[in-house]
Amino acid sequence: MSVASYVLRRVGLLAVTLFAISLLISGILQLLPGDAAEQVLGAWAERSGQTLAMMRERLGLHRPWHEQYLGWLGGIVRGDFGKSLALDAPIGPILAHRLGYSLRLAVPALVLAVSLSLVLGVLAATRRNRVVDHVITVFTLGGVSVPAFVLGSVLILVFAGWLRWLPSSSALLDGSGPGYWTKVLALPVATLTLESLAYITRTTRSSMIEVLKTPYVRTAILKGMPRRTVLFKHALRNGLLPTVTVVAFNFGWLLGGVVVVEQVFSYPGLGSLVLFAIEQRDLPLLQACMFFVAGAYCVANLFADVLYAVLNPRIRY
Amino acid sequence: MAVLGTGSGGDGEVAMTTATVAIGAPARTRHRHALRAVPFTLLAGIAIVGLFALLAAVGPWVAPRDVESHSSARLQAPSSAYWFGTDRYGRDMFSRVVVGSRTTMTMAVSGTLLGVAVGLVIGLVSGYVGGRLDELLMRIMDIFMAFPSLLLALLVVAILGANVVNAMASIGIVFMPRVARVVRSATLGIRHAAFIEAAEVRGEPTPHIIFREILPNLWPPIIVEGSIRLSYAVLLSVSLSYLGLGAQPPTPDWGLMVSKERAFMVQAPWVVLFPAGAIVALVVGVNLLGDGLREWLMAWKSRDE
Repeated sequence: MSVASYVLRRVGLLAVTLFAISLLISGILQLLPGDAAEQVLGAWAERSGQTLAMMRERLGLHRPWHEQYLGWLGGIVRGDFGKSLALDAPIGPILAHRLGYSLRLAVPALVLAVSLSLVLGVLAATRRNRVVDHVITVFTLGGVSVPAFVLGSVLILVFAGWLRWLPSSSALLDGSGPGYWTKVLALPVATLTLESLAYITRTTRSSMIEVLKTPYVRTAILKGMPRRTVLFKHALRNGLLPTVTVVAFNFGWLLGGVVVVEQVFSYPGLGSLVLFAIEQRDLPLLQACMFFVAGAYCVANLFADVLYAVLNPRIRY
Repeated sequence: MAVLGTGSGGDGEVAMTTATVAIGAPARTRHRHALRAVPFTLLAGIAIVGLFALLAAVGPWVAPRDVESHSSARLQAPSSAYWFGTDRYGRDMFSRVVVGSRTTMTMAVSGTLLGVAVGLVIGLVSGYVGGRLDELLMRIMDIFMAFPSLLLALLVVAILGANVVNAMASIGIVFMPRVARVVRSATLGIRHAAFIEAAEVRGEPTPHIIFREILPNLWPPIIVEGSIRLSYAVLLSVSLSYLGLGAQPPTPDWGLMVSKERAFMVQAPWVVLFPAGAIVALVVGVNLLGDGLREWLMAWKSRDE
């Protein structure tokens, strides 16, 4: 099977998955004690019959469930995510705006984490059981054991509290330009990077160690090829395969990590929008956010699978 | 591996045990070897996690002060009177960190147990029965796995309401599909073993085969998976509490302390650093426990084979 038809099949599968996700999100709301209108109004403790009836009307709860669901799904297909209750505005533009903020956080973190961890992983693998390797191992073990909000809080304490180099919260600053953004993003990006770094480094290290043991690498070394060529042209291509999977997995982690990190630094991205929706019991907003995030995660997984197939010609599904 | 399966099995299992013993060394010798070779990481992990489990059980009785009573000694630095200092209400941080072990341990351990229990049954049934049921169950698990774990936990808590019990349930739901996959593939690994087919020929009912024949042989991978899950569970539960979706104030909880005392962090770093330290210590302990357990069981397995 060619790569193109493989990609096509995976895209078809993605559509099915997205449909299933929308069913789950919509279905899980049916499990609410009482109904959605009571939940939403519970936040304002207004439960009189009239307001309840009005809210049911507004949420479209008078219609049967399958109609509500199909209406919602149809809206999403057309790019209409519905209307937020708490913000009283269409969800689509809000989502796009917040996504922009989150990407400014997540993209530098992902790029930094991947490039740094490749360097560290290869370094640890080639200097196996030497001081460098042990330092990197301890460092990555630490990264796995420290939750993002603890790391973020400690960074705030050191760089904002004691050294006073950077702001402790994104909400305190107001401005534009690269200098401003560097200041705002430095600590949140550092937190996310350090958190994702650990897993990717560990995977790269162990897969590189495996690859360096293989006969073809030994042959390359023995026939007198420069070590650099062996390492980067022969070994790395195979050594990277598990890393690709971990990076995709890490993207999902990053999406969760973004929620925590945005909360730590009061950063107005998608993650804090999710928490806002939960706090305000804004169900349409929550539904849309969840669908969007799960969809992004699936697309990232698809991307990783395709990249894996391109990097590894042996694999054809 | 059969040595680990100590369930009161039928004839099939007995047959397998004898077969293994006949190939390997006598069971008792092997047992002693395994005990002697307990890795250091496992011991260290057991010690750390055990300490926190003990604190979770008896915390309120060993804590020097009441965790909720306010006093005029606000934001005091650590001293001989207040080992970990005091917070903005003058509450003793040492007592709060000690008692705080309870909510995190409860959420993480019971969430893991719930996820493992449900995932275990799904994985066993899916792997053994196979066919359309397997396909259906695995596709449902895939849908759950399509959500990043923290987001799925948030969704569940948002629907059910924020408290310790629901946070625990959300951890269980997040873990269920992952455990189910591991158990399913382990089940497929022994699905066609002679002792399973023997039980089928004997006409044993399916539940008997699943729980009495297959399950006892799967404990090692399940225990390893559970220990890996436990460290994620600790991270998930403290994160949920930090986000205000787990334990609720005024419960002394580590995640909650780091979040609520944030404003005083620069002025009084101990209000954040001690609960944060407790979290890291517990996660390191659970990681050591998991690594050690995996190493130990793998050494055991290789000796068996």
